[in-house]
Amino acid sequence: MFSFLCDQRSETPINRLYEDPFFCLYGYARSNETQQHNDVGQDYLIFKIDDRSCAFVLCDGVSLSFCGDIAARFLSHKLMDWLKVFHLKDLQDKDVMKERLEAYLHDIVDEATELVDKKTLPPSMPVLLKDVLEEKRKQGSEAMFVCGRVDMLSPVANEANVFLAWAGDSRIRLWDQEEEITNLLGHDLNSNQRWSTKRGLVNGGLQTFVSSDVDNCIDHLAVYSDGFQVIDQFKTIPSAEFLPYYMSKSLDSPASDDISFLELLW
Amino acid sequence: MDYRIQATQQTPAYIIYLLDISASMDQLMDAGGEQKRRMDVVTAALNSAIRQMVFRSTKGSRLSPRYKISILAYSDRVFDVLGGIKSIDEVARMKPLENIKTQRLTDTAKAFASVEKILLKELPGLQDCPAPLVCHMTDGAYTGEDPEPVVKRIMELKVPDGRVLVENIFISDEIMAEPIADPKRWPGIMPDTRLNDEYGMKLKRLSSPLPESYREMMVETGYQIEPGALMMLPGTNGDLVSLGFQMSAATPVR
Repeated sequence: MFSFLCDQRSETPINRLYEDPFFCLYGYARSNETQQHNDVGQDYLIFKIDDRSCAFVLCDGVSLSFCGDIAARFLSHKLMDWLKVFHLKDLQDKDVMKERLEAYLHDIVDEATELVDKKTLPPSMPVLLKDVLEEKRKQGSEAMFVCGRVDMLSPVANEANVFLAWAGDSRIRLWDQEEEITNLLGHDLNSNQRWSTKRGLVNGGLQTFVSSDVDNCIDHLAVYSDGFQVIDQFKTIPSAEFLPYYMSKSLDSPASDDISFLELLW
Repeated sequence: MDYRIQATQQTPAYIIYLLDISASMDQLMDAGGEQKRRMDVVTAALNSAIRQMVFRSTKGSRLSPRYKISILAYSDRVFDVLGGIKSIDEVARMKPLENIKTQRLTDTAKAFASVEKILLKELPGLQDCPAPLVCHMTDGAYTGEDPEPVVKRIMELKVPDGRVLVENIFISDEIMAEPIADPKRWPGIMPDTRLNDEYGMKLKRLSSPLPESYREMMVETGYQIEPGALMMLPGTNGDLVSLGFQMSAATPVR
């Protein structure tokens, strides 16, 4: 069993991991500006591999909402708890899963609102900033997310069931051997779709996908936040040797954003 | 040249507010059903724009300096209200508009000449930033020289993101042929829109086209400004003055 939980106060350089049958690359970095001020990152990444199953959650906190890091952290843990409870059979019906997740995302709003209400602000901040943050607190903390579970269907073959759910503009990419088949997701990158601690799902953005609905044999996926959009241009994810280069290139850009990245092959 | 560079800590947006403080700014105007001094309406609208910039600059509980601001007030002289260029985190700690008093005349050309001087000094350091914006608010015709030549020179200044933007908010009761019933549904002033005022027509010529990135931002906040609109607002009431100042802060942010 292996589990990874990012630290929102530090960087995780690109790591490699082999935990039968999964080969993973993953990393986490706060934006350039956030590192300079030693602030908390607004992304969150968590994944667990256990008994030939891998569950993962990536959340991208909305920086214009009230402390997006709160929504990202809270939602990541809640989604991980939610993903763990299902049997493989449940994860093969995307409409039922979508309904369940919509209900769940609504049910956790009260707990999340309580958490946001408890957040204390530094007493020394300017009155205007405090006013604006209190106004934002009323609207809640928000995060975009992608989560999923990959369950191996056989002890020997690499056939797997892939379940994915998302709202927002985080990247999800799929491959069948060398061929990229991301288009099967019908993935519409929309940063207006997110989850709010106050309102639950915003702009009706929840989408789900199960591999049993398609003919392809998915054996490779990658998820990453928009802070790593520099790698969108590549047909395959750059190798572990080159990923740190693209990571630092992204962070050097004036518009640098937090980066969460997970690639999974089986 | 498409006004898409985002305002960030490393590449802040620079906005110069140029406020006419001539005596006529003491006259009353409609503001949400009640009559208020024009100067008070403008002060409230500018404070609201500063608040919007703060809103768009928070990262966690920190204020990221994504905007730099100058506020110049003018009559027959030009006053630097902030005492230099200040970043939004500095402005958030100040109360810059508390003591603005109206004066006598309206030397618009002199005011824009000051803006030109500042921009010529600052532009070399703004090459990676969003194109600077000059937001001019006035309520009447100029005294002194014609400002058109200097404003046109300013509109020719550029950075890789685009030419310097000039926005005009013209406070006047009768500038529009038809009253604007609902600013949220108003399409904006187009190049062919007729205005009931000669100076209004001149200001229209001296207003930049609204960049699409700004328009998108305004549409996101519920306005229906249409493509092709100019950065000119008829300040016939408080809501439209406020819309004008909101427009000035609609630079794309991350």
